[in-house]
Parts: sequence; C-alpha cells; structure tokens
Amino acid sequence: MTTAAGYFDRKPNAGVRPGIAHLQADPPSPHTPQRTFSSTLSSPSLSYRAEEEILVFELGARHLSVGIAGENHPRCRLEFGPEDSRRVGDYRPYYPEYQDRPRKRKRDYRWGEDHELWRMDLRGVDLGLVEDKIERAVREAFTKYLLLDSKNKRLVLVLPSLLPHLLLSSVLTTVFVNFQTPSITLFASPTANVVAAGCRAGLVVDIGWDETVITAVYDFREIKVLRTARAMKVVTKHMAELLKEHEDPSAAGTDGPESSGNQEEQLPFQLSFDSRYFEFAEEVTMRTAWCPMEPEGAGQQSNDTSPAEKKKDPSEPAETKAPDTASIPSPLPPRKTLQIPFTKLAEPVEKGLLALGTNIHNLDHEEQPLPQLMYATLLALPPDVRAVCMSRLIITGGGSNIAGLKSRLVYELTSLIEKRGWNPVQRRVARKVAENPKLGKPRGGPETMLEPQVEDEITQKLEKEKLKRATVEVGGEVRGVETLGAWAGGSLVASLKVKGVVEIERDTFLAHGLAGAKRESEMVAATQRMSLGARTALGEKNAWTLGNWA
Amino acid sequence: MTVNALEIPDHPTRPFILSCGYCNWTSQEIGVQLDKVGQMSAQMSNIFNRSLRETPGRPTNAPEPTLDLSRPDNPGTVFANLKAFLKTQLNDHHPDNPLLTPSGDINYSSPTALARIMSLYTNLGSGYGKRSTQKPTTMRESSSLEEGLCLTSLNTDMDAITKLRNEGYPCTTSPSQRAGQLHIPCAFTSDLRPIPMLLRTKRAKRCRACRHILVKPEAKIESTRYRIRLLARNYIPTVHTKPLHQAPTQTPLDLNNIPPLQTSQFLLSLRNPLFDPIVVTLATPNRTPGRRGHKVTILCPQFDIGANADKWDEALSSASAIQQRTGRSTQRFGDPRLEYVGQEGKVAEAGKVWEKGRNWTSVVLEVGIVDVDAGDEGEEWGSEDEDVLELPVFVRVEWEAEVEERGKEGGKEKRELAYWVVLGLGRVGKLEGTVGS
Repeated sequence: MTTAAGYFDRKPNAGVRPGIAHLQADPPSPHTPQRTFSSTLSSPSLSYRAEEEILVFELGARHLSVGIAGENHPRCRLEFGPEDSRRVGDYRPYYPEYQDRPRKRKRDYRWGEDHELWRMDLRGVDLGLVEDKIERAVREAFTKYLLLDSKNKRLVLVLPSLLPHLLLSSVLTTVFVNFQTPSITLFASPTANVVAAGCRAGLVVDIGWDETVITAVYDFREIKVLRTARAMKVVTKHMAELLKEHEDPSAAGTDGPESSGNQEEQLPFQLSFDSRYFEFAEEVTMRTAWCPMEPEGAGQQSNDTSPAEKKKDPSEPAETKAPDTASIPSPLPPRKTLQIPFTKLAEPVEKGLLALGTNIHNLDHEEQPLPQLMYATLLALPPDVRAVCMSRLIITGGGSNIAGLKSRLVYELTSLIEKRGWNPVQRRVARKVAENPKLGKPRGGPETMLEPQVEDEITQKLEKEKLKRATVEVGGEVRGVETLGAWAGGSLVASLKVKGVVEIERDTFLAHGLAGAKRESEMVAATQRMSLGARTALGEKNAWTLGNWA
Repeated sequence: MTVNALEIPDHPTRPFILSCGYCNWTSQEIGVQLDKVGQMSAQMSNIFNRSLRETPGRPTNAPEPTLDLSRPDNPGTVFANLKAFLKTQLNDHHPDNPLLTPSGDINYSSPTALARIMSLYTNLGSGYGKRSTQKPTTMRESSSLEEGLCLTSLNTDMDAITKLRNEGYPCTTSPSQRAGQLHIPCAFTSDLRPIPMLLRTKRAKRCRACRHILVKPEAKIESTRYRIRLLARNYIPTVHTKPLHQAPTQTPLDLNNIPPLQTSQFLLSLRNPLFDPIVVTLATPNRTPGRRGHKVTILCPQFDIGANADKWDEALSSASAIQQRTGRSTQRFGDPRLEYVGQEGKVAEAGKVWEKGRNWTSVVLEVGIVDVDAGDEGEEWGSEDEDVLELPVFVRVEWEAEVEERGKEGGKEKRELAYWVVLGLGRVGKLEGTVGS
C-alpha cells in the first residue's frame, strides 16, 4: 500500500528530468549515450536512472534540507539538537521523570548553542564537531529518506551567501570525502529565493535564526547586503521571558522588562535560562507568535491609503468576540496551563524584530530593526534598481511564517517611504531643507522621475514587440512577493540544467582544497583566451572559482 | 485507516475512500476519493498538486489582473507553474541544442530528430547548425499566477491571525508534526496531509578510507544473512577495565560513585583477537578533556600480547608452572573478582606489566580524580554528564603478519593499526562532608 508509494511517486519524474551528461557542453558530435553498469546486481534501468538524479542540499545554521532536483519540496529536513550527541545506549530522555530534572544552564550568549550547527563567530566553534554533525545528517538523509547511493550523484548546495571559508571548507570536505560526490555546485540562498519567487530581482529579507540578512538582488546578482542581529533567536528569548513571567508571576518582579521602569527595550542579556526553556519557548514561538498587521493606534492616525486599512473592517467583529487569552500547556515541571493574553503573544515579535518601544537612535549598528534596514538597503541602491526591488519584497526564512509579519513589514516600509521619501538626509537638516523653498523640494520616488514619453507609432510597435519577450516591469510601489524558499529555488535551477558559476570537482578540490580556487576574473580571462584560439594550459580546463564566496 | 469502496450504483469505476475504524472519520469529509487501492501517496499528491492549468473550467488565456495574485492553496502548483514558465523562457531565449526534445532529452527514436542529426553533417552552415545572430534578449520574470508569481496578500495574514485567535494553541501544529510535513506552510492542523511511509533497504557498507566492502547483506529479500561481514572486534584488541584496590580488605570501589580528590588505580586489560603476537602502544592526554581535567597515567604504555593461538598448543608446550598460572588467569579475564596490590607479590610499578596471559595483558592505570562540583557556583549548572569519568586512549597495534604469496610460503610483513578509543570508567561521586550544593 503506502509503502510502495514513495517509490512510485518518484518514478514519473525520471522521464521529465533531463540527463545531466548532456548539459555540460554541446557535444561536438552526437553520440549514443553510454550506459555504465555500476554493479552486476542492480538492473541497468535502475543505474541509468540513478545517474541522472541531481541532489539538492540546503544548509543553514540550524537545518539541512535534502531532496532531489525537480521536486517541489525536499525529501527531508533535519534539525540539529543536543539529543544527537547522546552516547550509544543512553536512553535517559525516555525516563518518565527525566523532563523534570534541571538541565544544563547556559550563559546567555551560549543560549541555544546546542541546537545550532554553526555560528558565524568561529571562535567558539569546534569545526571537527560541525563536520561530524553534517556527516551524520547527510548520512541519515541518504539512508533513511533518499535511499540512494551517494556515489555518482551531482550535488547542488544552497548556502548562505556569506560563510567563513573554514566552514565552507569543512562542509565541502565532509561531503566530498565521505560521500564520494563527483561535483558540487554552490548556489547562494538569496538568489535561489528570487528564482523561487519567479523574479529576476528583489529585496530578499531572510529572517533566519542568528541574523536577518537583507539582500538586494538585481538580475540574479547580489548588489547590496545588510544584516541585523534581530532574528528568531532574539524573538525566542523574548518569548522565553514572557513565558517565565506568566509561569511564575513572582519572578516577573525581578527580571521582567515591565518592572524595570524605563520603556527602553532591553535585550534580555541579564537573564540566563535553563535550556529546557529553549525548546518550550521555541515551540510556542513557532505555534502562536504573531504580529499585528499594523501598529497599535495606526488606524486612527492614517485615515486613508494604507493598504492594511482596507482590510481591517471585515475582521473587526471577529476579533472582538474572540477569546482574549491563549491557554498554553507547559511541559515543564509545574505543568500548569499558562493563560497569556493574546495581545501579549505579539510582543516578542514586535520587540525582537521591529524594536517597538525603543528609541532607534540608541540602537547599535548591528541591531537595527527590520523596516529601517530594508529602507536603508533600498536607499543605497540606484533609483531604477530601487524601483524594481521595492516592488519585489521577498520575505523568507523561519521568521516569515509568523502570522502577520509580512504584512506588517510591508506596511512599515510603506509608511517609512511616505514619511521620508528617498532622502538620505534625515531629521533636522531634512526639515530645514524642506522648509526652505530656495533649496528645492526633496527628491521623490523613482516613479516621479520617469516622465511619460511622447508616443508615436513606431515606438509603440517596438514596445509591443518588446513586451512579447521582455520583462513587464512593475516598479515604484511597495509589493511583497511570495517565494517557495531557497531549497525550491535550488531545485528549480538544478532541474533546468543551468550551469552554476561555482562548480567544484571532487578531484581538484581534494588536491588543493579551497586554495585551488581561481578568481572569477581569471576564469573569464581564461575562457576569452580560449575563444581566441590560443591553447591554454591543461590545468586551466578544470579551473574553478568560488565566485561569491571568494 | 482502511480503504473502502464507495457504493455508488451508477458509477462505472467505484471510487475508494479512506476510513478510520476508531473514530468513524472518512476521507469523504474532506472530499478525497481515490481511484485505486494502491499507490496511496502518489494519488494523494496528485490530488493536492493538481496543476492550475489542468483544472477544468478555468479560462487559461484570461489575463489575471496583476494585483489580485495571491498564494493558491498549495506550493506544489506554484512550483509546477514556475518550472513550466522558466522552461519556456529558457527555450525561447537560449536557442539550445536542436537535438533536444522539449523535455530536454535527446530523442534518437523519432525519424525527424534523426533527420535533423543527419542534416548537421550534410549541410553545415545552414538550417539547424546556424546560430541566431541577434542579440540574446534577457528572459523576463513571471507576471501571473499561471507563471508562478504570487504576491503577499493581506488576506492570508488576516485569516491566519483570526484563526490563531479563535482556535488558539490546539489548532497549531507541533514541531514533530511540522517535521514530517515538507510542503512548507503548515501552521495549522488543518494543513496537515498524510505522509508516505519510509521505505527501508538493505545496504552494503564500505570502509571510508579504502572503500573495501565491510558488510554486504544477501540480495534475497527474505534472507537476513550476510555475504560479507567483517566486524571490527575480530581485528582490534578488546579493552576491559576494572578497579584495582590497595588492600584485600578495602571495600569495593563503587564505580557510580568514585571518590574525588583521590588517586584511584584501575586495571586495563587488552585481549588480542589476531593469530599473531602484537605489540601495543597506548597513549593518553595527561589530563582528560573537558572542563575538569582528571589526571591520567598509564604505568606501562608499551607491552606485548601473545597470539590468539589454540589454547592447547600453549598448555602442552609451556612449562608446568607457567601453565598452571596462565590457565587460571585466563579464566579470570573479565572476572569481577577483587584485584588488589600485593596480590601474589605483584606491585603496581611504572614500566611493568601487571599480569599477562595467553592472549591478553593487563597494565595499571592511575587516575587522579578532581572534584567535579568545586568552584563556579551559579555560573552554569553542570551538564548532566559532567561527572562521567571517561578517558580517551590512543591505541597503536603493530604485528608481523605472514604474507602468502602464490605457491610458496611468503615472508613476513609488518602491519600497523592505530585508533582512538574512549574508556568509560564510571562516575565521580560528591565529596563527602561538603556543605550545601
């Protein structure tokens, strides 16, 4: 019954998926494809089919998604956690009273470390352990979910676009050495997200675990990247604080941010949590954290044109009759059901990602709230690129699943643009310029700069021709575009036999490691020389580059 | 859940539904009907991933107003649309290999394709051999739902918030439920879908260094036997530890409660599984890794172990005194009997083997145990295994194996094997008489 289903599910795709042997270059002459029989035991059709499959891996700070190119979702998504590092035969977590025992208490900066594969700050990272974790996860993916032999499978690896070379090197070494992969193609996750959204450009807001990365992508190239520490880790911390407060109201007096008197938001660096709280807080964050679609009181202030405004009225009656508290059963020792006001559950997100209740001038460079950072990224772009990017806001990452967050970010960005225009100068000076008529009016958005041209027949005809093939550019308005995620982007690109910039062959990598990579400009020069007819050295043939990651 | 046929009189093919015998739920309630009994997962994914363009009754050429795009119910449809769109774009803009069929495979079977291949040779420079000279235009991005674009809609968020507010915590999915559901957004239990059972295979295992096959099961499905099965325990020495006491009267050491701030001695015995005598070299860091380094000394780090030859060979050939002793000691390997210093005149002395048998040797190991609970109050609670006493030991084994050449007796070849092991000795107890914890 269902057991055979997974196999048959996979089979029809094999016909659609193109053979990869033909994609590398145009063959000089047509030839019969060679079937290689890897072993006498497997049937030829099986080995032929197996050869075609390209595997797609997406690796992040906390998960590994593995699947086959051309499918719409990964076969498995593996997470890393402290339970993985148990000794063989250690069945303690199954003891009935195990949950009640106090566990390791982490200092705040190490909170959640057990659940992470790596940190960008490599000082505390044991690279050997990272390699072992990756190896185990990949092996589990192969033996349990893919049921494939890893040999002779090309691999597409979707990685964050900024990764320390040490980490990159250990990832590649692990996969090449332990899984006999012939070649690995690297894709950057922002670009993969843009592909999965069906765009060529966009502002990718990846709300990850450790940091939120905002990348402006134009024509599949990353042109501006800004980061902030406001990501899911901070939200989870705030959530843990909230839960603690409601679980034990007496403790709130000492640690709770409310009681501290000042309205300044404080990242809870003074608190250290039992790591059991981590799992609980994360579960609650995943399940019930939400974000109001517009800030409190915004409905009264802006009486027109706000996009959320139109939608607000129909849901109003539903909200009034809804229960005001959410009851959340706590798995931790007292095991009581926490009664938390529903509006309170939005606080961790608003505080953590949007820095609500904080004076923005007091924030450090690396903890800017998301809307401000999105605005700053757009501001740094040339106006035409900005016009394209601002109407393709691609919000992705683990945090994008929070209900209401996408709309809120779009709302906040719109109101920021309305308030400031595209003027890099802010506050007092900007006001002075605006008040002084001699200094001219501030520059408007890009749409005001593009004057409609006088139309004639020939231009119209040309335009029509162009429209058939070229992009219908939507620009100048703030608009969110949904993406299927970085994995799906990698899967799409791999299934369309697009050749990646960074393709690493096993033999060349194992010979020199990352040091063997050429610069991208050298690669281009090499191909140009070849086109001129001059024979280049044999070594150039399998030269490879690290592209973005160099 | 069982599959039942629906009783519809006038229906030519009777559709099937899933039903639960426990709660009387049927899949008819959510409108799921199946055509076949088997291939459940494939049928399910067909039902859920049916492409939009295949849906009857939807005009395919009606242009969508751009602003009304919102996410349809499942990303599978979006993915299929997007893939189809990108494929057509790539084909339009990169006049690719003319031999490829639209699906991307080389089609040798069709006569037209063959004719095209042949025309490549006959008239070069015309027809398919010629590349278009015009400047390649960039491919455009998708602009409608049919092409895989969907916009962030306020309704989705609004619905999600309302649902969360009305139905609360129980309607959301737990992390374990989400882990099984890989179609991405499944915040609510109503989004959950049946997942296919994972299949299992028999697999061979290879050595990661030399790719030699270590384990290979028989190909027959019913059989549980192995064709090749090389186990490590047949090649590397077995390590065994037990406490060594200072006097026969001493109370036996409780390995779950080893007293801290003392030096304890242990007997470390290695048994040789090979048929050649071996030389063993042990090494260990002088402090164990971790926050608390216990001080470790192996009193005799290098020693020989005899071959795992036939018991009787040695018994018959050796002198009677040795025979008597080794015979008795062999039985004692792994025996929980109390061992103590001074027993039969033996002393724990640096550079000396404690006891030696036919194919085993024991040496003494000294561990200076540190107090695990000391210091940093309130800094961190100790991790749950902070008190475990474990020693990493590097074992290097050398022996001379006989090389069999074809036809005649070959010479001897020196072989070497080296690996790390971790010896778990027990748990360090609390210091008696300390106040508070």
